[in-house]
Amino acid sequence: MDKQMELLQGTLDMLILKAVSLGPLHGYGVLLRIQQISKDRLEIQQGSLYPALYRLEHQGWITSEWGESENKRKAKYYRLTAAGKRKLQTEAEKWNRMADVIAGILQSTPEEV
Amino acid sequence: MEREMDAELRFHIEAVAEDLARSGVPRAEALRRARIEFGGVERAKEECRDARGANSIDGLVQDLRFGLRMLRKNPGFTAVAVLTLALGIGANAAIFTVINAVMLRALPVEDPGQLVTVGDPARVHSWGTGTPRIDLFSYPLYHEIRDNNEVFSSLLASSNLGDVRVEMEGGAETARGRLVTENYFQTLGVEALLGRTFTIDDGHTPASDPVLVISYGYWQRRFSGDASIIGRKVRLNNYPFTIIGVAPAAFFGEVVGDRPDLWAPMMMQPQLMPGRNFLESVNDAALLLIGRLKPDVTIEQARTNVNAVVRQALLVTLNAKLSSDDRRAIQNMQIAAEVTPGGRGLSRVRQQFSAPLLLLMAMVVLVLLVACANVANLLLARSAARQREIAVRMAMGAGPARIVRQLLTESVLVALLGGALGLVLANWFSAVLVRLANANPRTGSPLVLGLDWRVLGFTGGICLLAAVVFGVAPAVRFLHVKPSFALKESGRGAGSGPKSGLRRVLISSQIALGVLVLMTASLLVRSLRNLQEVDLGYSRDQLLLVRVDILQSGYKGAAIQNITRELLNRLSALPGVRSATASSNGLFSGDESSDAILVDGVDYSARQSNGNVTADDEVGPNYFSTIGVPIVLGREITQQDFLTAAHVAVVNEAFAKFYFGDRDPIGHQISIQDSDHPNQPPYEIVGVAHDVHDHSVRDAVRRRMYAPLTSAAFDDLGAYNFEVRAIGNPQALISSLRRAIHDMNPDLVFGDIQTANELVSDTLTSQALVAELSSFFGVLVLLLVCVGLYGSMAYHVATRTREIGVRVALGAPRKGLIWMVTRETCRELAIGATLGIVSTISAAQLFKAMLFGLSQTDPFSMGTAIVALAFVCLVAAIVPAHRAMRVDPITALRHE
Repeated sequence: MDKQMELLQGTLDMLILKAVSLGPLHGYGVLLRIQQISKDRLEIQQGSLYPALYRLEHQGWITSEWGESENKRKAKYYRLTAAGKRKLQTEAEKWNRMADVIAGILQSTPEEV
Repeated sequence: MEREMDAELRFHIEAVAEDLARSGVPRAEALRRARIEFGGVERAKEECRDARGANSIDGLVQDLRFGLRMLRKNPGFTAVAVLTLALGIGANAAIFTVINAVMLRALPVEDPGQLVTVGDPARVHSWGTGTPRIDLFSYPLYHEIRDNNEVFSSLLASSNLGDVRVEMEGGAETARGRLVTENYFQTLGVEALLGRTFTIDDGHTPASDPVLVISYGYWQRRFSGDASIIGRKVRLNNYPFTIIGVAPAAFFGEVVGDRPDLWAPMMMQPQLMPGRNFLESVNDAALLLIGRLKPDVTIEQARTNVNAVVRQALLVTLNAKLSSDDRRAIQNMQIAAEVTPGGRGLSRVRQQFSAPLLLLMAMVVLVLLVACANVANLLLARSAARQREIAVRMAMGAGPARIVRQLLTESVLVALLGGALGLVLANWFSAVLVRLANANPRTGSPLVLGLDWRVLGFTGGICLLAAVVFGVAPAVRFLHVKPSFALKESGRGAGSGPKSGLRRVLISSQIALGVLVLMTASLLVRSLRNLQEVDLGYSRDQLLLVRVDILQSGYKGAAIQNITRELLNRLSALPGVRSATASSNGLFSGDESSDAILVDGVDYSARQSNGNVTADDEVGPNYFSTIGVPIVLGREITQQDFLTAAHVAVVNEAFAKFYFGDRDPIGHQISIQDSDHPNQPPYEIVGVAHDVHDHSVRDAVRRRMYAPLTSAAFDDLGAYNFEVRAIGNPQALISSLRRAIHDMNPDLVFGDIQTANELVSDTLTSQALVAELSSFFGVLVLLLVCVGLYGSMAYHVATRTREIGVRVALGAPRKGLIWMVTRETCRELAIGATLGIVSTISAAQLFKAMLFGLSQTDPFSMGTAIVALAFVCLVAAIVPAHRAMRVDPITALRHE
């Protein structure tokens, strides 16, 4: 197993949005989904997951409703809203642009400067 | 919401645990590991609440509930804090209520912002006879302004009517009235509650409409709110009138500090004041004007226009009615009538009490600060006990902002409780204040007090401010507490480090504030005593005065002189009367007169412009010996002078010095410059009287000449003040004087019979008010400082019980221990007292006008303040110190 990386500041919100964009999830499910997609390479503080969920919900990017979990228990499910979908899109674009720029800088050689 | 959050987090942890269990971990162990992995549940929950934005409301409810619980758990602290604040806030709200009523509140009329006063709004009770004036207006001048101005949509005039005799079925009584023009109610926009008010058709011509509007208060008090009152006939000063309306309850008139019982039309003035007619005369000024501005007219435009109209009237339109003297005087007069915003109405009380009220307001703010310092001290003392609680809460994940908010919520809660109780106190206290200020208590409260948004807003504001003042410092201090440290420490460390520094600052500032208030109070009380005991130049004991309005009683010409003489004879003959005399102006009556004169043998070229004006008075026989004014040269005005109407005069020392310097004035001639009586023989000076304070305790004595009452030298007003010197107790003489005047003629109109002492005191009402109230606040501050200091000391000593125990066990002498405990207090006393004295001396600049006969560095006042506070400090410090000494060393060492 690769060594786990700590999450970059400010990226948790984007990851949560992405996770629930693939289908409604409860909090634990979000955690599992992110770990699964990242192949367990990211470490997410469980304590900070819920405040992030509440914050996203308060901002109107996700909504929640109570449903039944896989093992027949009541759980709170989060789904993406239309506003959340747009937010995810712009955040992803911003992230990609930023990543390109940073990568470009890091790859530059002495001759290019 | 909370429950949902709990359920969600529980689901999470259980789901994690289940997954772990599935991989073979025992169930209990799985749950434990899931919890560890999750981290601080409470902190996460708190962050969730923040994230949801719900904390602001939920948290507030929670804080309030918690705060209330804390207050209930500490009833002693709560009671002392709330009571302390209630006193402080109550005093503030009370003074502010009165300030609001006197200085801030608009008249209860339609759109008060449009109203403008013309004339000096403080002269609401004045009559002036002589050269036309522009601080008060004569009726003809009002008429000119009303008809020729271009700025007012309507202009009313009103004038003092004073006490009127009302006769109806069931007897006669006196009521307070005001004379108003027929457009009075329309200009103000006040509708009758019952019946109607005056209309333009009422009283168009003199004596045409004897109608009355009565006040709501009078209607309730005298007629029990009987609706059939409309149309009722009553006799006012012996003239039949009809009641046509009742004014609304909130309407008290246009004068703040007066509550007339009835309003009568201006055109009825001659009927209400027999013998005088002010409707025709340009020389009788008694009206103040209030105009309603036309839309879009500014007060500047109004001022310009009104003064242009006044100038035109005095110089052209009314000029023919003026005497040649007056015409000359008007040529030299600068015509600039006061035109000021009138929304707050007219008021003499406002001018008289504004400065005292502001001074009192400043004092109660200091009282509140002392109260705040007290509560802050209590909070500090309690903070040690709460350190563990706070530490636990911080360890549980409460952020610093959250803790401060919780503590501030508690402070605000205490402040609001104090404020609510304070408002109750204020209600009662402001009524007491007005009663103290009212020189005429028999007429009931002249001021409408009561709560309005301003008072409530002010009280709420000071509550919050107080909460911040006393709450922030202790709250912020908690933030420096390290949870681990506080949890380990069992509340033993209090009294060390920066916290006791704050405590000391609080105590010294309390002492400084206390000295400030006490010394100010002492300065004011001593000034009042100086004023009351000032040597008037004559003995004011056993001197009685009564004003008899002979003209209004129906006498004319020579009959006035005859009845005056007869009355003097009868009063002098009464048993218990040493002597009786009369004069036009009386003593401390508010009546004054002056005239232009020429004195022979005086070089006028070297004198200042007003050198030819002197104050004067007309006096009866033996005036000087009755009043007790020593004659320093020559003789006084005798019975003989009085009977022969001799043209002789007595002048006072100021007069003699001004005109003659060291020369002998006896035998010189004074000519009164009066073009109405151009050929009057001059007055020969026959005596010089000692300078006396006859109308003001404070002001310098004016130069004055006295002439026999019968010589009709000046304008004869037909109303005289009779002065009676009693042999024994003057109070015992009052009823027999009253009977003697009544027996002379039952229709004689006369006022209250008062002692000279009472009259002098009446002129000192506002001074007495500040003196009385400031001493009350001084005592209040002493009490607060004492309670605060005692609490603080007691706590301080309690925290050092262990240390004291050790010292006692080691054989420290008791005296040394007491000194150790009280030493600090002595230092705080020294610092606070010095600060207090210095600030009082500089603050006294602001109320220097209220000091009399002493300087602001008055050592006695300083000493009083210091001794009082030192005593309080000593009591507050010694009692806990002694208690500490009695502690058994064994118990002390076991203590925690």
